[in-house]
Amino acid sequence: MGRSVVIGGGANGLATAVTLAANGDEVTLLEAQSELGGRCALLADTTTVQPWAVTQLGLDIDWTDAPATKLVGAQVLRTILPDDESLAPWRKQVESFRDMIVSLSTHAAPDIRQQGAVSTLLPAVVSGFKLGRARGLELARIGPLCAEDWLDEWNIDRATQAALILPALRGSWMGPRSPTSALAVLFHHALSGSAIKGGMDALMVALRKRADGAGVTIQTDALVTRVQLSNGSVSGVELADGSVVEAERVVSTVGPRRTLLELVDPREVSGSVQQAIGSYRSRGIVAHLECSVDTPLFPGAEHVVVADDTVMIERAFDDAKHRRLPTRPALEVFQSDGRAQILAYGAAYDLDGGWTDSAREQLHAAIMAVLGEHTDTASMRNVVLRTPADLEKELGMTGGHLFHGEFSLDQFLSFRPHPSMSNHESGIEGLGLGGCGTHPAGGFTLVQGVLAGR
Amino acid sequence: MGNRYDAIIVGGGHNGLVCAAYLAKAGRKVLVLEKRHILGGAACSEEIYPGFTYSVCSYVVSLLRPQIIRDLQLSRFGLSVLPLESTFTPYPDGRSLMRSADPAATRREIASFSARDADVYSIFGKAMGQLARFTKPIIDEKAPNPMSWKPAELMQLLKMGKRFRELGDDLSLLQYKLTTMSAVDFLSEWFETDELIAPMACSGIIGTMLGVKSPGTAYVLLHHYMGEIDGSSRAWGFARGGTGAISMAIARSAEHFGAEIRTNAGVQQIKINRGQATGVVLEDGTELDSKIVISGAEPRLTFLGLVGESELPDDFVTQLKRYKLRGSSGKVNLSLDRFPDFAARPGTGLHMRGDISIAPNTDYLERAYDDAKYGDFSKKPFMNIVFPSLLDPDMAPEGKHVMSIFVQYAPYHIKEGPSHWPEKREAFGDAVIDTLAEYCPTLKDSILHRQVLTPWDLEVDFGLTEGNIFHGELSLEQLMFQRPASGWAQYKTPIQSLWLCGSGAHPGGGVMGAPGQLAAKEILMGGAC
Repeated sequence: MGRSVVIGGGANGLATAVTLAANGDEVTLLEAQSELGGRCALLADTTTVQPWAVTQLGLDIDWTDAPATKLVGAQVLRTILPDDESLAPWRKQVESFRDMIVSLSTHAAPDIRQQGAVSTLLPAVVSGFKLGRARGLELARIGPLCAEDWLDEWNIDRATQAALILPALRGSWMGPRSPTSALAVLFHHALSGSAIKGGMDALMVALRKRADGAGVTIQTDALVTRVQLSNGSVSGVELADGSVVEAERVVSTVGPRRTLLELVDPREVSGSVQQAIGSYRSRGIVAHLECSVDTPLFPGAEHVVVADDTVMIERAFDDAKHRRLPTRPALEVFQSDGRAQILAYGAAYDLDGGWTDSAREQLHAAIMAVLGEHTDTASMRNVVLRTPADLEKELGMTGGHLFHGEFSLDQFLSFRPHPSMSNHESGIEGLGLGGCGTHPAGGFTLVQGVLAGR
Repeated sequence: MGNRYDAIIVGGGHNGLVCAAYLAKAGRKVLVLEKRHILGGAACSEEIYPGFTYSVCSYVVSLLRPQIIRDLQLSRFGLSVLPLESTFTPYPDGRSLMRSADPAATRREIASFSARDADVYSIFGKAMGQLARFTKPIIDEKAPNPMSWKPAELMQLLKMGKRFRELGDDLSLLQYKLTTMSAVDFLSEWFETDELIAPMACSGIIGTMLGVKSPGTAYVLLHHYMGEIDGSSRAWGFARGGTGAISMAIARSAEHFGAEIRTNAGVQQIKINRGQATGVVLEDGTELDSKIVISGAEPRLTFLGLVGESELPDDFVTQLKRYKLRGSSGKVNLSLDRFPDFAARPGTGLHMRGDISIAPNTDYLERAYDDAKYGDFSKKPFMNIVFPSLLDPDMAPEGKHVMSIFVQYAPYHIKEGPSHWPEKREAFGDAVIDTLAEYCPTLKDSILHRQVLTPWDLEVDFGLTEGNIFHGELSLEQLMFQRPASGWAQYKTPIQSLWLCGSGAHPGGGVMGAPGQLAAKEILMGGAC
């Protein structure tokens, strides 16, 4: 019991605040923007939100079937249905790992340090036991594979593969031909389920309602500039306007890097923590475009993947890898009434020459050109394009990365963001880490909020 | 049955010969069958042009197990390994970097790029040395079988876990990162200079169809440091007389212990009777019988080529078909009229007595990979070069030189299809020479002969399926208990009395001899022959 501050008013920030308040804390939530939501406003995909987290938080939302993904490419136009027969054998394999992946992702990550809490190992041991050795070995085989190789094994054509792979790559710095991208795809699909009725807006409303009900004090336009420490433990936070909010406990959901390298006095952060967090990789690879439309760009579809095949995605990855503008970015389009949100894959955060106005225009033109191959773009109005640099600047997302940190073998589970911080600890007494940059990896799950709160 | 052998070994590569020597030493009647006219497989030396001897394929020796050298008395049979004393990297802008066995000199060289990196280099070396000590036992024992409940297997797993625990938090994390990260990401956590990271990173991609920024490529960095704790000052060495001299020493040792070795004796088929291997049929129709058959050939070739799908369990066939070979490299061997000076550092000093990397920066290496990813050879390839004639003057006539150039990427699967490689062979050779000429302006005028080996040639001439120099990619999911197939990583196969002893078995490729030795050990321990 005591006073807690949660930094960041995104969905995970709210979830953390609700969890802390339910624990009896007096909670203040501080959001830098004038509205809550953070980057959530940019993410239309709610299918990876874990029902477990929603239940824990007691949120009042309804679920609905996940929208079928429509695939649009040079030679293809098909809708990927959940009961698609050609995908059934592959889906069965994903299904066989689902329980384990969900279980690992809804418990605290195993604390693998020598002096670590042994109890955190239990869920992993239990789910490993349930999985059995044969399937465990199969997982060890699949994990390191390239996504394309894995899906090739199931005789899925490379165009359809694109629709299955692209959504999983939003949060990683990989292409379909990068080893371990199979694991990203497996995690994404194992964690995906129903969508939230009313989408992200409905989720935010429910979270807000729950936070208000729990007595969380919410301050917007409250940019935190410093986490204050006295004698090595947290005493409060300082805001941009100079005011101070006192608290014994602070949980930051604005990303591990930003929290430990920018919000805390560097003298208070040990060299090893600085080094560990300094090498935590969060290279954004996706640009975001939103617009209003009179008629849907792709009628009858909420989620559209625009990619010819895996090669188009891989080439877009190459562009990002070489820090050049993507000539043909692969696109994910989310449509709801009168509005479209587009994630353009292949936009490097560290573009050579930087994200100048001209670079942004060229990216805009490239996105429009890819769209223009398949639909009439004339009805797109009020277009706002955010490059990874904009995402970082406007929303404080380190590296412009959608999930505060890449999904990779060395940055997931106990390793997210670092084994010494695997329990949402920061190494500083009273300062907790939450948000997507912490366990579990694999996209927007809302689980981080609950676990961090605990 | 006087002429029946205890064991017939298919393939006279270095691993087959090691296995034969150990079995013969234990008193078994052994026959080695080699398809080519000379022994060694990809570890061979040939005088392709009069007076010029090439290590045709494999050109350096790394991690040849010290116990094999000792047990088989290889020094007595002519093996002499000369250390490669330096690693030299020239850059297009005229700068260059030499790392050598002399720490002070290496420090000075690196400091001219970054003082910070010069400091970090030795700390990095120490950390890697500690990890090498952890990893090294893995290549000297059979892979554990996590599917088994046998006490011995469980003990082996426990021991491995205990060793891992003993590394402590920091080092075990480093080991995990090393196993999962890309070479560039891993090195970037330590170093800031791209010119240093690039040549270090490329040891992670040799022989594999991945780029330096592909996850999982960091692991091979460790091999460099494993060599150092074997006692030699560097991980890489050059055998006097070329790599074939290693195979010849092993062959002489095997013969000394009583093994019979035949060349020009290609095996066409492994005879199977009721799920049991009983001998082989040669290409000329000769049938030979034995208690067991051991294949040093690549696993897919062994089973799908020499045994036949119908004899094998379905899931094993599935695994073999998934087994990734995907050769990615070629070789160019040159006979030179005179020594071609590197513009960045002329002369034949210490920097030319090691290996030379054409790996100026990480973007360069990734671009080379990008070409291959879409089915073409690299226009500007990564190259690893050795001048054998500087180390062993007998490799070329006096005053003349041989130059061994390992080239990556040359993907087996080019977009026209692998069988079209012969039409592209010379264009590939030209790309290599043109790129090198940027560093050695006089090279083109010094060339007397040029031998170009594409992955297609490696397959056709040396039986390296898809031109893969390691008999299968050394990727995470194809190592340890999954090499070559899950459940069949202890040299035994689903066919009774048929064993594996080549690089397609644990611990994998390179001129280590470990698969051959470990296979012999397993065979003898189980009393299979």
